[in-house]
Amino acid sequence: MEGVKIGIPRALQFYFYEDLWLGFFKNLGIETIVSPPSNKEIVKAGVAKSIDEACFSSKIFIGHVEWLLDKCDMIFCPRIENSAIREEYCTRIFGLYDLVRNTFPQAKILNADVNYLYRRREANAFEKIGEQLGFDKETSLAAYKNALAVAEEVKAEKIAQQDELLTADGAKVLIFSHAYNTYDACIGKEITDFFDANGIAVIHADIINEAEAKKLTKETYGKRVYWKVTAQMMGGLEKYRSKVDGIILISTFPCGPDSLFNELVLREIKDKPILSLVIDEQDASAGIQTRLESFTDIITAKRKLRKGGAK
Amino acid sequence: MKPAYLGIDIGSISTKGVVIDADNNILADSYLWTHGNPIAAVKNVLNELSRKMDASYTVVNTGTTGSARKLIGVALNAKVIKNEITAHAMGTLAVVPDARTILEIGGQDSKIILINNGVVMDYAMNTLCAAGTGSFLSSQAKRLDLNLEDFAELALSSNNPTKIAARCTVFAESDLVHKAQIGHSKADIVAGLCRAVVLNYLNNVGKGKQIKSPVVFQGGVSKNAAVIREFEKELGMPVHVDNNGHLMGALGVAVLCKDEEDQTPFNFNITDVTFETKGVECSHCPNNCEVICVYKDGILLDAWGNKCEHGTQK
Repeated sequence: MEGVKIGIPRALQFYFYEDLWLGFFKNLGIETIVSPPSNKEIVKAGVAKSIDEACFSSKIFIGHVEWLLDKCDMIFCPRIENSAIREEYCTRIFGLYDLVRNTFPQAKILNADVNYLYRRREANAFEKIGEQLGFDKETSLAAYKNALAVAEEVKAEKIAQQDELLTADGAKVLIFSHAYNTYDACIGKEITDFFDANGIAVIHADIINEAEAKKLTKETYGKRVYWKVTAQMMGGLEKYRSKVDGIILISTFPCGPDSLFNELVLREIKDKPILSLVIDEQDASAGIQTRLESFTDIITAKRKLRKGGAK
Repeated sequence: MKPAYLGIDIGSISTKGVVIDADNNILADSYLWTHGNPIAAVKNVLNELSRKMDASYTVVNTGTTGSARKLIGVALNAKVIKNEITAHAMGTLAVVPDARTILEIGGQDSKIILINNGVVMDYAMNTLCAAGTGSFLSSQAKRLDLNLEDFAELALSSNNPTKIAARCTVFAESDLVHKAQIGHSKADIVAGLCRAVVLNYLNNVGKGKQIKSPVVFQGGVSKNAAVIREFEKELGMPVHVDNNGHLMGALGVAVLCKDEEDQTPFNFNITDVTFETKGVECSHCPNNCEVICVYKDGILLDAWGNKCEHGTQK
């Protein structure tokens, strides 16, 4: 298919697969357009088009799709149910394709299923995507494998950078939050910007080697954590919690997995100050500022106290 | 000239101001309604403070806290602009140095602050829900045709508080109407409301927090003796309420001011200056940030609220 332009919403799954997806399309020479960072207009459109019960993050996703509609030929929205047997994404994520299809009946959607229970593996999905764009299996598979290798490299680089940050002196906070919330301009960015401006290093619980995270989660909680992303974050929490001064939980209202696991974190961790922030479409940054400021005061005071004690 | 320090706490409902000397003694204080106009309220507070103050003192530093801390901080050129949590903790520690827990119930929000060795260890604020705050009590008092002073007295006369669903303000209110209709006495209902506020607070804001003695109770609701009684019953420990409890935020920033090295004498004539604020919706990108501009005698002093570099000050 010559000259086709693929629109990719900058929301939800994008934050897990950015490098893989963009790399894959680039390898095939397909033009892509990614929606801009969330802004008020996108949020407003998403909220208007979503049911009230959807989580704020998925409302934002719908807003991004709407932004892309008249700017591309097809919306890329795969139905990703899991990434291995018993490594599930939340229902909001694997329902996205159907949600978009029903919300925007006029939209052309580029879809493929990933579901390991039905032997629909990621590689097969990319073959299918390539097929819809007029590429043969070998070409698509090669594009996928190359993009995957590059994405893995980028991930390893991020982990290495974070490890370096961890050994540095100075205050650090651990962000326990889904990537699509942490980096979204209308959800977590205000929070990470605040710490950047105050010279506090931000450590991300989800930036951790997957195998290591899996092992740590199983060791600590005995059982497998049902949700893939949460399991990854729990592993990161175990790895980093002793090296940070405080923990920030960011969640969007009403997130199912977070309602369970943020509560678990709040109950389990007693040795570190924890701040739990729940974000929804009611814009109330004043309240968040006050909480962040006082949280910073606490971790700074505690550091001073420790230094004083060491003398 | 002896140095003095000014602290102002501009809350949603009331504005508080104190002037202290170097030993944290309160030289002058003021407590007025904000009436939705923080700048006017602060001017009135400053007028009152300058009248009450001993002329042998000079205010050398200013601090602000409360929800309008930034606006007033800019207008008064304050050296310390601090969030309410830290300010309240510092103020309370100046009065009760060994305090471990601060319970605070204000007009629209409530918080708990846990302290160890004079350092804030943890805190919580009410989140999406304003149940069990002062405005809930005052609106229920109105519903029952009572003024707030009689409210506490009537509640104290009851030994059998009516059980009122405390989970949510809306449920509490309908439950209250129901209990009144089936014949519970007004005194019992009012006592039940005070108990509901305490239970709501402990189950929401205080959830999972270890409350250790000495406990200090602050905020407007701490003036209600019936609520104090219910807290003591529920916690099984004495609850300390200071007469100046409402001033702790202001006192806290005043105390913090003492650490500032750079000192500039404060001019109470500022009350003659006109401050104007304007909320502008920036139209340079789809974020439409609400930019607040503060003008002093018509000259732009500062602006904030911008989320990106597009924001312009008009």
